[in-house]
Amino acid sequence: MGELGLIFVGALVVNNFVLAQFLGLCPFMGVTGQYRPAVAMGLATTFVLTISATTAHVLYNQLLLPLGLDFLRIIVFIVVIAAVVQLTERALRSASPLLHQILGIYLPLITTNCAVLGVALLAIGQTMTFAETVVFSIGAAAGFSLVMALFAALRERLEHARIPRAFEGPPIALVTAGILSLAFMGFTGLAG
Amino acid sequence: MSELAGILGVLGLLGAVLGTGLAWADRRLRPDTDSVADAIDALLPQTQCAQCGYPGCRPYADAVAAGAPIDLCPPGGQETIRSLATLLGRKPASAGVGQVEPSAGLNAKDLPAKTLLARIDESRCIGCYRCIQACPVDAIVGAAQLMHTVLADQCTGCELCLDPCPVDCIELVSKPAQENERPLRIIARPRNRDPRSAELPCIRCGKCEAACPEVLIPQELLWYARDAAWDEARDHGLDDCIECGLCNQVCPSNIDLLRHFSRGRLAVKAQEQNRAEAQAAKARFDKHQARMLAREAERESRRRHRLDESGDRPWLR
Repeated sequence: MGELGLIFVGALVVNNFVLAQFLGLCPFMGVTGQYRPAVAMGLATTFVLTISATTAHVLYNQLLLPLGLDFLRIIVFIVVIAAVVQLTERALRSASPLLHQILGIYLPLITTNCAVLGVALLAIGQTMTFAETVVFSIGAAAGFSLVMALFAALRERLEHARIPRAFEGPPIALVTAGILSLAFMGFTGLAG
Repeated sequence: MSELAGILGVLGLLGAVLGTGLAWADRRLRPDTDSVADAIDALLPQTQCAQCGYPGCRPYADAVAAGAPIDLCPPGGQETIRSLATLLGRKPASAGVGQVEPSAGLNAKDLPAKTLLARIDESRCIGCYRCIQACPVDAIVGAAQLMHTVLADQCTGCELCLDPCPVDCIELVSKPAQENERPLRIIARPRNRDPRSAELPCIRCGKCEAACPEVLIPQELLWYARDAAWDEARDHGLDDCIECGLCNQVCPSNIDLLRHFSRGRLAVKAQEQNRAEAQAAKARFDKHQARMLAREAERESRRRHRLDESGDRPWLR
């Protein structure tokens, strides 16, 4: 149990996928202009990430390894991720079309979010068990959502700040992201 | 060979399973196309004035949901543009006039749509009741044979009342801009001031000048701020004030200089925004005029062409 807790905290903050490993930066910069879409994006990615990572784990260990086809892992994982993203998009379009419109192109782009593939590959690379993979992917997804919410809130606050003209827009966002990343370095050594 | 069969088998199986799943999901989850338009429709002013180029508010809402520009609604003005931008996460395209359909037929072309307001010249009003029937938001009050007047709070400046008036006694005027009440404090709220004690007159002690880290002269800025002379205040460095509040701390007369300066900032900001919005409105209006002229010219040239062609065939005329 303690082991699983460490994996969770490790994926959540210590090795946070966005701010410590710099994966999945596309939605991190692209959808964090406003708080609500950012949180929605975090939740959509959470859904895709956990489902695809666990499915990928099962497929790899039950199908690819016994057949000696483990070199197919990347293409198989990509296909699984793409299918889950399509499912998410359909579900969102029918449940909340407004959100679907706001997220726009970033929703299908979850497919190419390297954090999603990264979690699946890392879980296999570290030969995790099924339970560990589930906890790891939930932690990574929660960390992603956390960072999305934090960064969106920061950027909304920056809208009202007096920013030197040369720094307005993306420059100040990138500077903020860098400082946030520095702050997350403070978690180093917290868990494992 | 068996490896190739394995690869094809695994990929084929995966494709079949996932494809079937998605097809099932596609059939189960019907896309909901109406609710976006509903949300947009709720933000539109419902004047049904058709100035956007669509027959009414609901058709315009449908068009926006399908990707039409969000700044075509003159009665809604800047307010509606802003709320639509927030709802849809889109930027108002007001700067890029090139792609924006011209919207407002603004008569007072230097004014932003938001600040327009109809006013009835009451001495000329004959009480014909026609403008009251035309007003989509019931902003005009009055009775037949009696003078009418406009409720400033309700009027959206849609100018639908201008045409029906037989004596042309209605005109659009600018609405006075509202002052933003909440000043922005950036660094510190001074602690040693007692808010209950009143401000005393400035005794020109110069302590604030010595305290200011930006080498401004707060007491001088204060005079300009009290006169609302913002241009002069900016000449004397209002923009450089970092709102640290040190001048408040040292002032022996208990003057809240910081409040004056942050108010001034807001006033300056509002002034600049008004100017920018006015320019955007003017650009929209110019585009609209150009399009109207072009359309008129084209119609005229077609008519001429037809007349030239007709020659000895008068039935073509």
